[in-house]
Amino acid sequence: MNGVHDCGGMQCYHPIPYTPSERVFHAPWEGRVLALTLASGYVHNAELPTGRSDTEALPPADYLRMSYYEIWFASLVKALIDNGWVTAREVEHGRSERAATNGAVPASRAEIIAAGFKPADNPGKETEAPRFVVGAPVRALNINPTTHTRLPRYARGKIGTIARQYGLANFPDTDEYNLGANPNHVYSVRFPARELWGSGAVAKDFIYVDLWERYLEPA
Amino acid sequence: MSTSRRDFLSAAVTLAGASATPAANAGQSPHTGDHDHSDVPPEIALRVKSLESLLVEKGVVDPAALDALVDTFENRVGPRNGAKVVARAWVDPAYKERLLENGTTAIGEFGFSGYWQGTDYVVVENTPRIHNLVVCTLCSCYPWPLLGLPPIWYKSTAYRSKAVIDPRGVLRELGTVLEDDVEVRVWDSTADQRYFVLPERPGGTGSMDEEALAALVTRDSMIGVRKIAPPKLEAAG
Repeated sequence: MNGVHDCGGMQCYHPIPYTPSERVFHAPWEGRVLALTLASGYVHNAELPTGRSDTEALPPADYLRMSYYEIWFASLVKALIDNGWVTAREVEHGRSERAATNGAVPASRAEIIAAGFKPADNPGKETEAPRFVVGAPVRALNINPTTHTRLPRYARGKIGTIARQYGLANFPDTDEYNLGANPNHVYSVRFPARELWGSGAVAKDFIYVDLWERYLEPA
Repeated sequence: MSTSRRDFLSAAVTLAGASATPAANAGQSPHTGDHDHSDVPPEIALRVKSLESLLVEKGVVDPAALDALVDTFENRVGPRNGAKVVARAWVDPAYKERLLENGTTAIGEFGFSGYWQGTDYVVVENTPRIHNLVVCTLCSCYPWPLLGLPPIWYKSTAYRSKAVIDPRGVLRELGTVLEDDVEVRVWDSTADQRYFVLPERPGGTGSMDEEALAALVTRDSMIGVRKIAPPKLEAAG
């Protein structure tokens, strides 16, 4: 979706709200939102589908006005309601009106920490060879899906070269909606800033974008 | 998007309290959450507490697990982890080689890995000729187990939007001026890879051990927005 989240190259947001250091959570509720979101993703016997698409579908004014963890909270509430884990009425009143029907059993503290902070399993053997070799010129497709994609607007239609091969990863455009994992090779593609932004850009600047093979064609 | 989907989302946003939040542009402000100094918890805090009670009652989450998660992010992950990796690479050439060759396994030697934003690391080295800078233009991807949760400015639309079109401007804005002949490489984290900058070792550190070196390494140097200053001389002159 050509949404407000896809902001690479916009020029209207200065200045950067830089601070040399800050608290991890600016208020206790922020930490609870993060923990609730992560813990809801690690429940026995039930899977809560959450993804970026809900956040990306937020009305732009809301996206820009809301703080980071307000956005997380809205996305979590939406996922819980959409998937029937809770009702809007229950969220409003903060009380359960019926037993959980999804068979959920909470993961323990140890299970959650182990799951989140141990190295993931090896994703498995490659089953197909990558189509592009390092150094190959490629063009990012000019596509404009109204659904989730990880091909940023600023790279579409632009020519770069394959810088690194990263192996297979699930294709987000379909995986996001449980429409198929479609594992697909991922590459780091090196784009000259001048290819992306024109002759006014600095000749020695390069932007590397991680792109799935399905986003690319030979150039 | 269907009308019903939009309506549903608006309802969720309202439930989440966003529409009632007066903190305009809170996501862009370094003061998020700090503006309320009264004793009364803000609306959003009450709503989050209410959702937590509901999910505990439903048997979806264990409050002890929530406490452990908060504790982990506040106390167990953070830039000190990344600093240890950097210091090791500075003193151990074989480790540095492994780190640049396969960041995931080399960082795994320290145990700073994990399902959350820590499964595929790519380490890029800053040199006098090449300066690397990390961003996530589409969201806020960041190597959590190595650097902790990202700071507000990293998640801001200001940083995300500008880093790819004017990286030298971003660096200047944050206090880093590069020579014109230095190549700038911006890494946009659009897939599962999480980028980590191996900063240049500052001068005047030849006699320092690994632990002392780690203490010099800053969060910003591992994102690539600032260099590490040489240590101040103690008992100078």
